[in-house]
Amino acid sequence: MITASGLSKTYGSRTAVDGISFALEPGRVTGFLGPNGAGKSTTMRLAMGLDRPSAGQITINGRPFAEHRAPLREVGAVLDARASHPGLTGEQQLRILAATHAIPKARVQEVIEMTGLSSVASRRIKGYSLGMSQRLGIAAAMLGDPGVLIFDEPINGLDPEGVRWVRQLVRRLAAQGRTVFISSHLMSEMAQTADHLIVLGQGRIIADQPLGDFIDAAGETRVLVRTEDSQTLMAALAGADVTLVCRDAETFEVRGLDARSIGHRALELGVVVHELTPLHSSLEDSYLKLTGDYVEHRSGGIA
Amino acid sequence: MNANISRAPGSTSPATGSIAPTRASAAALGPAELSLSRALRAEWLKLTSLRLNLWLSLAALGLIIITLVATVLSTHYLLAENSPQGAEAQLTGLALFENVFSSFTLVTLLVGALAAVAVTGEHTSGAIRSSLAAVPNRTMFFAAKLLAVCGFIAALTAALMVLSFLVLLPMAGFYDILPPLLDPGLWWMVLSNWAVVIITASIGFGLGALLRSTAGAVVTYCLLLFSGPIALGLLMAITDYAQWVEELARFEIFALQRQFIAGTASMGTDLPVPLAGALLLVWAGVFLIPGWLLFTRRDA
Repeated sequence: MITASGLSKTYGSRTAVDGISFALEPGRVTGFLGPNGAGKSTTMRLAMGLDRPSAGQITINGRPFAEHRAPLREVGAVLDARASHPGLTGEQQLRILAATHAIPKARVQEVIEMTGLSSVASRRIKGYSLGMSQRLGIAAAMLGDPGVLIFDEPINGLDPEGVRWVRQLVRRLAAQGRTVFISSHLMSEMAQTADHLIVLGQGRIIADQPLGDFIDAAGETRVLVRTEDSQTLMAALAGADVTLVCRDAETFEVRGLDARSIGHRALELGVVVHELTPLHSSLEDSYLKLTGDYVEHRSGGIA
Repeated sequence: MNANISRAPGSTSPATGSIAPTRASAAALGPAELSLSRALRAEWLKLTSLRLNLWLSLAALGLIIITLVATVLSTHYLLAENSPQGAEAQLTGLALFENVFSSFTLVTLLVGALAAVAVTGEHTSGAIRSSLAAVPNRTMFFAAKLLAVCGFIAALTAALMVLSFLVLLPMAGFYDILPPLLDPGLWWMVLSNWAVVIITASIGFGLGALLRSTAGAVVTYCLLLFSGPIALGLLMAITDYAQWVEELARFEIFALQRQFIAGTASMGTDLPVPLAGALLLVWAGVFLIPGWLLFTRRDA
């Protein structure tokens, strides 16, 4: 379990994390979302004791990380895929980490096989691709079979097979009762992986709720309508709280009315409807809508 | 844990094993608890695994080999026609050892760089993040790394000294200039040189922790060792050998090394040997203690 209480971190005049509090429960995957610079990586670094909080505290299983007697048994973290000495081989890196806790060599081999690094374990890390480095980071995180896992952008650089593997790994780890805390900018992956979401904006929590609730709360339900007499039906549906968006001559979207109401209105008018499909918001839609005001680095328009 | 290896069809990337592990048994993980001795073992493994340390050790070996070859050649040239006798022979033999052991000052430069890189390499490579994930107690990590580095340097220096003996003893015997092997002066020279190398190199370690930059730490280390004598020499010339400059010169690192290794206060102005040794330790502490304080307080 990871618990943050009034956690703040400032770098000079810049506040990266601004008094956040949350509690991550075991047995579920908690996704950590937010625009660039929102404070996600800083929060994870604070959890691992790499940075010192300016105020508040963050504990893992009731204690600050540094106070655990067997840290690798408590927490496994992948905060930076390149957080290994490039002059070591992958296997050397894992053996060195294992030596700190007298973890047997057999366990090192297990995590190497688990992460698919067997064929490259004897190569120096400086020759690893980003994906291989991610796998090595995950292998290191799994060495002590910890109950808490913290992954910062774990699928960066992975090929589709690796992405799928990480997704299934994360789900399985949570199913085993572990606390999994994962950040990613890939909404499609997060939608398939997370049970619960914490969304940061400019260092503050702007959402802390189950994934489904997050999508429903921030998103809008739309209905796609296809009919040969679209003009008639659109005119009949128009109203103060209804938004109509025309897609083509026969198709339009309706916001502000559900499919049942639209169907009834069409029946009253005698308009033949070929399609009436509720369109649910995606995680991406909900996320962009919620964090729109918190984006620090906004992209320019596409020419 | 079961590791059912599978490879995605057509995948050129490393094959991913089982989707996820089952919980590992306690037996599979061993005691799995952190301790200073285990952190020390991990740091030792790291030091002995990195090629840079191998190259620096080979450079130190090369330096000693060159010194030994030069000593063998010069001895052959000097003693070919005129062999000293009696007490003079023993003094000549002792001087032979002194000449070779004086080259350990240069070894100090190499192993000091090794000590600095052992710390700065963690920061420049980003490896500090994985290191602190395993050993988050920073004082323990700092102590383990310092002990491992000092142990590595001690072992390397001892090996170089054994090599020196293996070359010098037969040669001294051949020319009949063998110094008395049980002479305390000879063994003080060996042990004090050994200690000086380790203590001085730990200054490099402290600088590495303070500066976190390889170039900065190595350059500062070299400047610290060499700029002292140069600056004091200039100061003496400018002040016409003022008393206070001569006093100051006794506390400079190379001067303290000389006074400590000499074994006796050979010059009138020399500090007592134990004090010279203690002041060398103070020099190391001047960099190690702030380095440790910063390391434990700064964001990684």
